[in-house]
Amino acid sequence: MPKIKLPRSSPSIDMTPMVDLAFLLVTFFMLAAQFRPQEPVTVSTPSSHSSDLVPDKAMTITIDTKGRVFFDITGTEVRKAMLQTIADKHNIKFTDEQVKKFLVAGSFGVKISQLPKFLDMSDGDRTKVNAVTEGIPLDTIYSKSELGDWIIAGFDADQARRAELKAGGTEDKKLALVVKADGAAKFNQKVKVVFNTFVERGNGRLNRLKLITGEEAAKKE
Amino acid sequence: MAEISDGGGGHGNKHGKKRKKPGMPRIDMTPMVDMAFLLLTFFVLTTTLSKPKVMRLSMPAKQDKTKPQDNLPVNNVLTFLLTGDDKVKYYYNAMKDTTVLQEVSYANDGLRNLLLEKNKITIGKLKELKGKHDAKQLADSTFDRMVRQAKTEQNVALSVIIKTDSLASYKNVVDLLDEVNLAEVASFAVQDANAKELEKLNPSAVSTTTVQPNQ
Repeated sequence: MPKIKLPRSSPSIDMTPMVDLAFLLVTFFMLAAQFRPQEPVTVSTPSSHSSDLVPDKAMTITIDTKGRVFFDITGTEVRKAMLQTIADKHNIKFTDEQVKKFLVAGSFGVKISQLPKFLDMSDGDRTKVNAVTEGIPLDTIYSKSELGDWIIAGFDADQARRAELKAGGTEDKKLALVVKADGAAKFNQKVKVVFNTFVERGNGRLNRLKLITGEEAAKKE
Repeated sequence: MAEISDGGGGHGNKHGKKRKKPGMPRIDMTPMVDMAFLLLTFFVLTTTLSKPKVMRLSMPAKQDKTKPQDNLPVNNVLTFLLTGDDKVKYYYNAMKDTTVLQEVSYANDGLRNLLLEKNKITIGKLKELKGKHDAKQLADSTFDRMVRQAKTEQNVALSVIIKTDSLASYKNVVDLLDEVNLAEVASFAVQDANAKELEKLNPSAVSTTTVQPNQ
């Protein structure tokens, strides 16, 4: 009996639609992805039912599980002016190189006296420092608080910048005061002190805070 | 067109396969597809789907140290005392010697029901206003003003005071603030617990040596 010979080659499959789809998805995820600057510490925030989005122009205080405090503010102009204020107040000289690095440094958590050294470091060394640093010092005598100094300097720098822009004819968004604290941090120890620093140093100007929270299911009616 | 290239060496041409038309070269797309799926996997895994949100919190104005802290209105005030182990206790209106702290859970049927129950008059009013607003009987500005009025009406709208002991976590505070927002409570404050409250929270701590918490 003659056998029916089957072709040995594998059947040809048209992969084009699959490839199309794959690239479509790649494009979607690429565009939807947000690249955030690296955070010095990982913080797992508690969740809430709030639906407000995180403001893009903000002063962000990060508090990790151990209660270490990190400071960040957006805007290079604002950062520059803020650093100048701090340098004058604490009698610390920053070189041009250090200032340039500070503008892109993102969130930091070292004492003001250690800041120049911190800025001189490479990215890898900074990560190491962030792992062991004690954070920006707080004080319950609020006028002595370094965090308070940063907050006021940052806020004033932003006010000045906005006034400048307004004179030039453009309106800028208000600076949002954002606190991003870890859910496991003890409230009484550091978080409350940070809240109170805003209140005490701001003289009523810095009472409206925004707390970063994860998303929870929407409210049931 | 993309095809799975057959590994059969020279056999392919012998059996059945049509010759491609000239001018249409066969391109092996496999590496490209591999690449595409690699990228796809990377972006799928790195994308965080739940975006963080912010919750607004207005801190009360600077406290006058010369005045006693507890001179707040004492009608329809819930004072919550947050402690470690994710526990929350509360008392209603003024603290008296006979006041017994009651415990409530963070679950929906605990804290939420309590707040909704105590604030039901205001919530009822807000619903009514919202109904009118939806039916276009109220202008936007009037609606906003009346909502604010209803939410801050003395002795009718609920006020909430939040106090924490040294063990309460930030998560506890945010959970409670969230419930407070859901219950449409406009006036709330975060304060230090006073000695009397701490004593009620932990009666043994006063007589004996201070109880050492776990951490």
